[in-house]
This record gives sequence, C-alpha cells and structure tokens, in this order.
Amino acid sequence: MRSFIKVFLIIFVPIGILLSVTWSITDKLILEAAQKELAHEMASKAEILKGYDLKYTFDQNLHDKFSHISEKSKLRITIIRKDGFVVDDSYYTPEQVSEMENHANRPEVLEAFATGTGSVIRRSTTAEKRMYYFASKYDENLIVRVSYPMDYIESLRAGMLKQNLTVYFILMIMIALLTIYLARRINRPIQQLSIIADKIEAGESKIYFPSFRDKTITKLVGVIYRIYNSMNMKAKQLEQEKLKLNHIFSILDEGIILLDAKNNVKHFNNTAIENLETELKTDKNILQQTNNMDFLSFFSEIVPLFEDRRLQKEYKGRIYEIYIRVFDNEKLIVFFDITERAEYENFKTELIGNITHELKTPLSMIMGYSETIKNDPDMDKKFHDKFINIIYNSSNRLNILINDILQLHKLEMQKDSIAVEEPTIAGELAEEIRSYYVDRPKDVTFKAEGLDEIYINREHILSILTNLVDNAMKYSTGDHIHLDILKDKDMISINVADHGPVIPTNEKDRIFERFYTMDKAKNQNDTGTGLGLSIVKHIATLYNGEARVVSNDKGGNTFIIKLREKFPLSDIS
Amino acid sequence: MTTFRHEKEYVQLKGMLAEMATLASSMVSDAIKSLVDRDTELAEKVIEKDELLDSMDVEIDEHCIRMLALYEPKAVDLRYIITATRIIIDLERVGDHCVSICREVLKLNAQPQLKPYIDLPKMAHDAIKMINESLQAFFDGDTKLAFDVIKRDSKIDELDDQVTRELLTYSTENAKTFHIVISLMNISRRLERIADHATNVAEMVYYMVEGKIIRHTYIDEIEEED
Repeated sequence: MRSFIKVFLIIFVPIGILLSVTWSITDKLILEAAQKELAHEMASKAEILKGYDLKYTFDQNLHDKFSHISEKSKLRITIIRKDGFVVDDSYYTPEQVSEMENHANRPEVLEAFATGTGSVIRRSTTAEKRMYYFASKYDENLIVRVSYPMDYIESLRAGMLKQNLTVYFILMIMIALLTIYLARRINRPIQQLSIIADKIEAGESKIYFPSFRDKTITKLVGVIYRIYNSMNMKAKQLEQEKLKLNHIFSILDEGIILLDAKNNVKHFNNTAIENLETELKTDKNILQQTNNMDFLSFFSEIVPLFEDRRLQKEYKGRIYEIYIRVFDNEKLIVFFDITERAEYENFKTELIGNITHELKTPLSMIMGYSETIKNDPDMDKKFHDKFINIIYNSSNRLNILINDILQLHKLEMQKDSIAVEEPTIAGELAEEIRSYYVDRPKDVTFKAEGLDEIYINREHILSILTNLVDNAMKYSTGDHIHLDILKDKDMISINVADHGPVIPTNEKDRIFERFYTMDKAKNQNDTGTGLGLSIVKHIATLYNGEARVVSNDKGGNTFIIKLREKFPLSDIS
Repeated sequence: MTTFRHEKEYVQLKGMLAEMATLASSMVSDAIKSLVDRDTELAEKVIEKDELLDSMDVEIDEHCIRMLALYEPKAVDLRYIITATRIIIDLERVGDHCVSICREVLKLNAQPQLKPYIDLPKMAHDAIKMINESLQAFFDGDTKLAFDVIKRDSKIDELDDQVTRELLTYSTENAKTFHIVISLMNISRRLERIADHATNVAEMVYYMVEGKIIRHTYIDEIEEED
C-alpha cells in the first residue's frame, strides 16, 4: 500500500503543480488581454466622440445624445476644459454637472493635456466605483474623457474564475483517477512479485505464479519461475544425494563421524552411535556430547590431530582401528571394530607358539637321546635300550600330536553340511570301547540303552569317547568312569562322568581351548596333546551340537556332548 | 552452571583430563597384569609410560593456569579449575605408584612365584574402578558417586591388611622368601595408596560441587549433614 501511495504521489503531484501554474498564468494573461481590449475600445470610442462638434460650454443637445449613449452602454462621457471645468457629463443631469468639482487635477486629464491621451484605473469620487478612465485631447482647451466601470473586467474575471475552477477541479479529479489506475497497474505486479519472492525465500513448496498483462513483468516472472524451478530441482537433487550418502553411511560397518574445524559434529552414522554407545548431536562439540570418561578419552586423543593418521585404540573393551582424514575445514573419523580380528591374530600367534612348543618337546628328546647313542656306540645295553625306548615313545607322542593337529585341521576345514552314509552300530561301538579299556586301572561302565543305529560318523564318535575317557583316566582320582549314550529323537547325548576333582567354574569354558591345561605344573608328565577336548568341541559343532562340562553328584565332572544325527541326503525326505 | 563451558579451553581441559585418567588407570591394570602374567616386557612399558603421564601433568597444569589468568573465573568455575589442578597431582602420583609396582615386578620375575595372586588383582581392579568412577563423578558433578568411591576406600584398606597378614605367615614359614614377601607387601601398599588418591579425587569432586572441603572428615558426618 505504501508503494502504491508513493507511485500515486510521484505521478499526481507534478501534474497537479504544473496544472495549477498553467492555470494561474493563463488566467492572468486573459485578464491582461481583456484589459488591453478595453483600453483599445475606450480609445476608439473616444475617437468616435471626437467626431462630434464639441462646445466649450454646456450644450443640451449633446448632453441628451451622451446621456442616451450612457443609458445604453454604461459608458460615461465627460467633456473637460483645460481649466478643469466640467462642461458635460453623461451620467449626471445638467444641474448636477454645473455643480461638479474641478477636474483639473485628475491624472488622466493632466496626462491628456500633456501627451494627447491618458488613461488610469481608479476609484471615481463622483460615481464611487472603480472605473477605467481614458482621456483624449479634442483641441488645445478641451478633452473628451470616457470612462467605463471596472465591473466589466471584474465580472469577466469572476466568470472566468468560476469556469476555470470547475475545469481545474474536473481535470484534477480526472488526473487523480488516472493516476490511481496507473499506480495500481504499475504497483500491483510489483507487489505480487514481491510476495512471490518472499514465498520463495521462505521456502514454500507451492507457489502460484499469476499471469501479467505487462510484457516486461511477464518476462521477469518467467525468469523468476525458471530460476525457482531449477533451484527446486537442485535442492531435490541435493536432497537425494544426501539421502543416498546417508544410506551408504548407514549400512557401513565402519563408524563415521565428520567434524568441522571447531570440532563440532557435522555428520555421523548409526554404526558410530552403536559402537560408541552414546547419542550424538550435530553442531555440538564432540567433547561436549557427553561426560563419559571413555568417550572423552577416546576423542581427546583424536581431536588435536591435524594430519591423516591411522591408529588403534580400545574403547569399552573393544579394539578399534581408527582412520583420520583431515580435509580443509573438516575432519573425517572412521573407526572399525577389529576386536575379533585382533583376538584371532592373538589366538593364531598363541596357537603357533603352542604347536611349536608341543612339537619341540618330544623332538628335543629324540634328538638328545639319539645324539647320546650316536656319540657313545659302546654304551651299556641297559641304557641303550632305555634310550631307544624313550626315543620310540617320543616319536609316538609326536605322531599322536601331529595326528591330532591334522584331525583338528580337517575338522576345521569341514564344511557345515556333512552327511553320514553308514550308521554306527551301538553294540559294536560298546564292544570296541570295552576291549580298548579292559586292562586299565579304572573301570569304564558303558551304557547305550535303546540304541541301535547312530547316524554319526564312527570315527567321530570314537574320537569323542576315547578323548573323554582318556582325559578321565588321566585326571580323575576316582576308580570309575561312567559313559552314557542317550538318544532323544535325532539328538544324541554323550555323558562321561568321573569322580573328581571338580574343574573350577572359571575354567569350564577354557578347557575346550587348544593346548589349554588347567595347571601347567600338573600336566608336565602326561602324554596328552592338549588338543583332545578341542577336537571334541569341534566335532560337536560339526553336528550342530554342543560340548560342555558340569559338576555331578559324584563329586566329579560330567562332560555332556550333544550331537544332532546327520542322515544320508537321500533319506531326508 | 558454568559460564565458560562453551569455551574451547574448557572442552580441551575436559578431554585432557579424561585422557590422563585413562592412561593412569591403564597403567595400574598393566602393572598388575605384568605381575600376574610375570610379563617383564609389560612392566618395563609401564615404567616408560610414566614419562608421558608426567608430561600430561605439566601440560594440564599450564592449561589450568592459563585459564585462571584468562577468564578470572569465580565460584563454581574457579573450583572446577582448582579441582582439575588437584586431580592431576593425584593422577600423577598414581603413575608413580605404578612405576614402583613395576620395579617390584621386575625383581619378582627374577624369582620363582611364591603363591598364586588372588587378592592383589582384586585390589588393583577395585582401585582402577575407583579412579575411573571418581573421574566420572568429576565430569558429571556427581557427589553421590563420589561418596560411593570414598566409602569403598576402607574395603581396599582391609584387603591390604589381609594381604599383609597372609604374607607375614609365608615369611615366617620360610625365611628365604622374605625379600619376595617384602616386594609383594610393597605392591599391596602401593595399591592401597592408589585407592587413597582416587579417594582424594572424589573428595575434591565434593568440594567442586558443594564448595565444602571434606578432607580429614569422617564420611558418616558429612552424610548426616546432608
């Protein structure tokens, strides 16, 4: 509205002023012209009057004529002598004329006697009106003076003023209306454009673009529309790119955090939150996100870095590999949980160390004793035999160890899906176990009730049984070992119970690890490879089962091995 | 509550303190691990780490002084920075104790093991927990947690007494093991001292939050006041 008023005023005020000035000038000019006309008229009338035969004294005849003219035309005719005596005056009766005062000092009279003509506008003392006087010399002693009341000019002026004012006002109103119309026409599209611009700025999604009559405005709106559209498209593209990026970020296994130059969080993904176990907020300093000490410690080492770096750090018990990329104003932190990898590597190194250690012990025995024999060929037969025996036993142990390692390796390599083509007969199995442990110091009770065919590889089940019974033989202080095989649907359960001593709870899981022996000092003289239980566990895993140890009511341990039978592929239907 | 919490220096201080605390507690755990696993290499590493801890102590101290000069903090802010300067002293002392423990470990590793270690790892575990929790209490301004830490100090003291008693019986059984017993007693004492430093930190946290100094006061009295 304000701009509308502005436009209106800009157009209207100058036109108004111009109009007023023009009007006043023309008014003045017209009046001047009228006055001149009057003067001219008077002069010519005076000339006409000079045509009469004028007398120095009053003449009734002339007086009548002049009075007649005055009655018809309001023209006052005065004849004045040089001495100022008024000879005749058409406005008055002869009596009045004779009593009229001396006119010698009238300016027009003086002027007429001096230059021939004289004119003046003044108030008549006799007629008491503003009059226009014109005096013209008739001869040396007489002048004819004509005068006309200014009524004419004044009424002319009044009439003109009235008419002109009417015209003036009509004109002004017309101009005003025109200006309003123009102002509206100019202002409205601008107003609309401004509204559109405001809406675009506010980011409104639906904006109406009206059509305009004005070509320039239409063009302008067209340009704005196109810019707006392309802007929208760009925004959409950006949004999509962002979504895509976010999507990629969210499925990454790496935690990602992007920091700006002031270490405020710019971006992060879900993995980052999961790994850090801390809610993150964008546009907040990374060290102000939480008061958690692990978090603060984790990032306070990363934050001051200003060059690309790769480091490993522990956070809440997990090990992370952290890559730091530094850009101009941003810092990208990528962290990857390598706990398992690190554990595996640790485990591998330990395993290789263990294997070599285990291999080395018998090997050094073999080497040592064979060297002794080699260096002393005349050795006493008794020692010789003893040494040979040791060498043989050590080779045997080495053989068993290598066999175990190979078996374990084979089991590890085995794919998940195995199928047992030929069932193991439970009776045969029992017979074999019994004959195997017949001369041992401890009794082995074998129970396999209600069992006939077991769809578990014979080698595998034998390996489990012998390993567990051997262990019980070695470590149990009791005299009995109880061996049970039960079947529940396709789940085979092998239980081996001894009479103790009980394995401590915190070691119950660890004994299934490779080369794990509960007490190193105790095991030194035994022949175990340290791989037996590991093999058992692997077989159990192969048959989708489990291997665990629990304490039993006999004061000992019961190893429970569960195996799921694997039927031949053709029988599955 | 604090007026300069948005300042860069403040955030930096927080981070550095956390880093130092983590380093100190990792030193304690590594020291005790080197004892249990008889890992001489690890013990030497811990001794080396103390230098890093010392340099952090100096760095944080300078940082605090700069903040005091720069912001002329009042009330809570002032107490915050003062507490920080006190905490780093305690943390630095924890590092020194770790070095002492590791020196003993180096001596012990040259000897056969006297007995399996059960109480010492337990003490170390408790002490580490106390350090971490006292610092967490500092960051959170959590007086409840701070009290919790202070209360647990007596438990460690008891453990120390128990270990000392037990070791004394060993030494009376076999005079040859005397120097081993002394080393182990020293380690036990050091762990007890580490717990004391954690307690100091917790007491400072109470001071920071409440503005009251509770050192040399019995904890029950303070709780009664509350």
